[in-house]
Amino acid sequence: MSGDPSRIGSSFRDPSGFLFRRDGVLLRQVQERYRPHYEQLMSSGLYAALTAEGLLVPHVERPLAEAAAPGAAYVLQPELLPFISLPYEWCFAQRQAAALLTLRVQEVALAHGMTLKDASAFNVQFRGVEPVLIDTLSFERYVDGTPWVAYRQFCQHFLAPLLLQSRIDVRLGALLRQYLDGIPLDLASALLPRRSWASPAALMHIHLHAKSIAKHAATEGARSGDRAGARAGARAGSETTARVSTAGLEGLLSSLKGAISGLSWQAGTEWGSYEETHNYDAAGRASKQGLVADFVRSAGATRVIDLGANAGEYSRVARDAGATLVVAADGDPMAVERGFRRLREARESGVHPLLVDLTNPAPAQGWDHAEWPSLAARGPFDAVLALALVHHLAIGNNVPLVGVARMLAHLGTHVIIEWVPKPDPQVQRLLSAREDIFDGYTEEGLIAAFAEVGLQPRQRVAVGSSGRTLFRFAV
Amino acid sequence: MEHPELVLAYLDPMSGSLILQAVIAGVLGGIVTMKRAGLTVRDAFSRAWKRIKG
Repeated sequence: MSGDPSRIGSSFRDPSGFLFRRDGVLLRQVQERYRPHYEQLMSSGLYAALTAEGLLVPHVERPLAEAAAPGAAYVLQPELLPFISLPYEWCFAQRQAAALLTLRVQEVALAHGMTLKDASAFNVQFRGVEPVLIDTLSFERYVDGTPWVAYRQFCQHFLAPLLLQSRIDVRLGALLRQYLDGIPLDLASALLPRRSWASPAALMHIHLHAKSIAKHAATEGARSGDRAGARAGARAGSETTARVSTAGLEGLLSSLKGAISGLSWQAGTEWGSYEETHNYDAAGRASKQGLVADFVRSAGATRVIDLGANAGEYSRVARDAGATLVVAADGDPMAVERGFRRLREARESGVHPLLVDLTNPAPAQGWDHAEWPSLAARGPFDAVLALALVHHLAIGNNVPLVGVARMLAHLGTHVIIEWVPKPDPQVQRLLSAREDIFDGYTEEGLIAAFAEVGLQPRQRVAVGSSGRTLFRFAV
Repeated sequence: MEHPELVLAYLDPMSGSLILQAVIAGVLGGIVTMKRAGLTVRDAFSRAWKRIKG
């Protein structure tokens, strides 16, 4: 077999199998111990039902000789997704959609005699705006009367952040960057307002849940003396005491589903008045759209990242100009939410909204810095769109132009920039309350900055009479 | 021989979580069963009341 297999950094917790890459192809090894469950997934009709509904990523079986390690029962090649996003890069509605997907998958699984053994938000990805489960090994045989082992994980990964975002502040979604296994329920319980105790879902699934975990952890720890013993004892004990009927499980899922679909982001009232800021009249906008489409085509770009995308107006332009994937990144949760909802309502594909603070994008995270990749490591893109963005970074955030150029060149081969000159009202607004220390903020300065990182202006067109210029930089 | 159901539960569900789940699933499952039988809580009470009144 040619090429050494390399394991994917995040794929180590579940002994059922793991992901690896061989000669650039993503493969999943299924271990012998998981064989009966995988075979039931395939023979019970569950796999067919889930993939038909678009709920689970499809795969094909590969020869066993392609296995990466001993103990393989099967080798699978899953359909490759064009982009991987991480739960701390999702807006509220994305998280809500991923949560409802997980519950729907569990419903379908139970109807086929199986159950989800984990409910991690990292197991959900988006094809455009449609969520899909990517972990084929998340299912196990359902044994009548057993509880849902992933219940706590579901509450930590989905219900707790959604409640915090909806009841307190949408920015609390950022806690997920610290708590990779979801928000601890005692923390969620402490943060939620007092009145949430009156909500049956928050009361049962968060407050009482947190208390019950704390109470039993304390008594078992004291009884058995050491942590491993406490856990083994807890599991053995709970296997016999915690019986949950099928109707009970159905009730539990329906309660979670009701709670999650009923949540809204309270800033919803601002929704109607949230105006898109246009600096162009209709003719100017049409001309900018035409130029952006032309530049994307000239770059021959199929993978594009649109930085400062707002609700994704120009991401859609790039997609219509031939890009098969456009990541529409913005740091404003409201803008990403608006873009996601709009795309989902219109059932549009090809654009993936993403919540990114460009001054602090997702780093390499988790165990040994290797579980979840940084945003840059999930590139490169063929083209980076930075329309009316550079002044925010250079003036709003004091980044020298060469720093901006380096960051953009790091993400992609072609960099398409809408340059907003200093006299423009948008730049003047940023300068109105501070001293202008930005002597280098000129078109010449921009070109020199890109020259320093090895890129030259390959296209350069004035955008109507706006005073702004569209550039395409490339090697 | 290991039981695959136990081996595969690689997550620690935490006994406090399982116990709470059993309690709330008991309550919620009761509601599901009643709904399935076409009953509402009010129906159940009114039937019981009729039975008491004879």
